[in-house]
Order: sequence, then structure tokens, then C-alpha cells
Amino acid sequence: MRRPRKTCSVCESGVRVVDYKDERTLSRFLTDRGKIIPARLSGMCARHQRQLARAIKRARHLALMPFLRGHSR
Amino acid sequence: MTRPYELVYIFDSALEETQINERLERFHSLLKSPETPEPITSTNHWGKRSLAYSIQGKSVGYYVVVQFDTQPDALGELERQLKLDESVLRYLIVLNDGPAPVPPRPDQGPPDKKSAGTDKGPTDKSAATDESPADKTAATDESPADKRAAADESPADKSAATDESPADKSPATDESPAADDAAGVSASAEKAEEDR
Repeated sequence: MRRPRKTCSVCESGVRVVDYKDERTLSRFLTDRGKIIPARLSGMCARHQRQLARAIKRARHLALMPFLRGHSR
Repeated sequence: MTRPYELVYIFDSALEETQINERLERFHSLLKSPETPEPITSTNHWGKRSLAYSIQGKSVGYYVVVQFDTQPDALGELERQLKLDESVLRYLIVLNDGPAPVPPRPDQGPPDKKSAGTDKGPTDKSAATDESPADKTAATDESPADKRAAADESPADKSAATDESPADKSPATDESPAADDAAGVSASAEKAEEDR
């Protein structure tokens, strides 16, 4: 059975460009391990998934969010 | 031709504020040219923040976000200097061609939310990420700016709820056959009793 297509939550919120400095919002699109949730699961539109992926990677570079969560030495 | 850029520095948190300002001045002087006498459009000191992972053995960094207009040629020398300076733990230079100066819905004020989020510490953040009903009740007690922030967050919460709904559905569909089974079992049990 096909589920109805999930809608892109970034489109719905009216944001045009995903900001890499807003790590609180970005963290909603990560798994609890810190992986980027695929569009297949999050229902993001292609444009925003691309923007989001880039923003998350920038935020990781700036140590705003972890590359890997739950890893401690 | 000048282009708008955004530069995020992460300085060593051991540096004094004056030392950081001194370095910022030095870096920004590299961006000056006859065409761009005043390259810097905005400077935002986030201050000390804990890093998500340690960089050069340090777990705290001093963040500064700068927006500037300059010619692409000027970036090479700036980047060389940034790499040479040991007190710069990390930097990021990106083109800033987003519609940041013109927010799509100014009445809802996404910049407000952003600034509130960046100004607050990590402890505040966890409080802010509480669920919407709690936020609303808190917001009524607080200033109108906070109310607006709560209003901003509610669509996000809604969308989160819609994201979860398929997940919610599947357990529900799983449960219903189970409930049927239970009913069937009890019915069969009753039958068994009747047979006796």
C-alpha cells in the first residue's frame, strides 16, 4: 500500500534558504547518531534536501554539530 | 565585481577580546581595496561556545561571524593568513547569496528566532526545544518577542507531528489485528465454555 507523499517541512515553514548556522533546526534532520536523514524518510523536496545536506556539512566543519554522535573517548 | 561573502571564524577561546579584535582588524584590512573601502557589512560575535568535537585538543571556541563584500581575488591572501594564524582553530568562507537581507516573511521574523537561538547558551536551547504547549504557556508569561518565537516554532512542531504520523499509523495498524486476535481468542474461549 502506498503512503501519501510526505510534504517537505522546510517548504512548509516558508524558509527559502537553509542556514548552516541554525544548528537547532538542522539537528531535526539528523539521526540520533548524527547521520543525515535521507529524503526518502524525511519527505524533503529535492532542492531543500540538497541545501540541507550542504548546510549540515558546513555546520559540521564549524563544530556546530558532530560528525558522529554518541562517540566518547 | 564584488560579491557578498560570509566568514565564520573559530578562535582559540584562550584569547582576550582585545586580541581577537586586533586579529579581526588585521584580517579585514586585507579585504580593503579602492573599490571596496568599507568591505565589512556586519560583524556578529557569538562569543564562547562549546565545540561539538574537539579541534586541536580544545573543546571551546570563540565564534565570530562576519559578512563582507569584496572581490574574489582578495580571498586568496586572506585565506593564507587565516591558515598561518595558529589562534584561528577553524574558519569558513562561503558566498552569501541567500535572501538573508530580505526575509520571506518579515512579520514572522525568522531572524529573531535565529538571533535568539544563537545568543542563548546550550542550556537555554534544550529548554527552548521543549514541546509547543509548554512553550506557549511560558510565552504568555513572557515578553511579546518570546511569544513570536513560540509562534514561529509551532509550525515546525506541526510538521514534526506530520512526519511522525506514518510511524504512528503503523503501530496502530499493527495493534488492530492484535486486538482482533484477542477478541477472537476470548470468543473461542467462550465457545469452548459453551461446548462444555
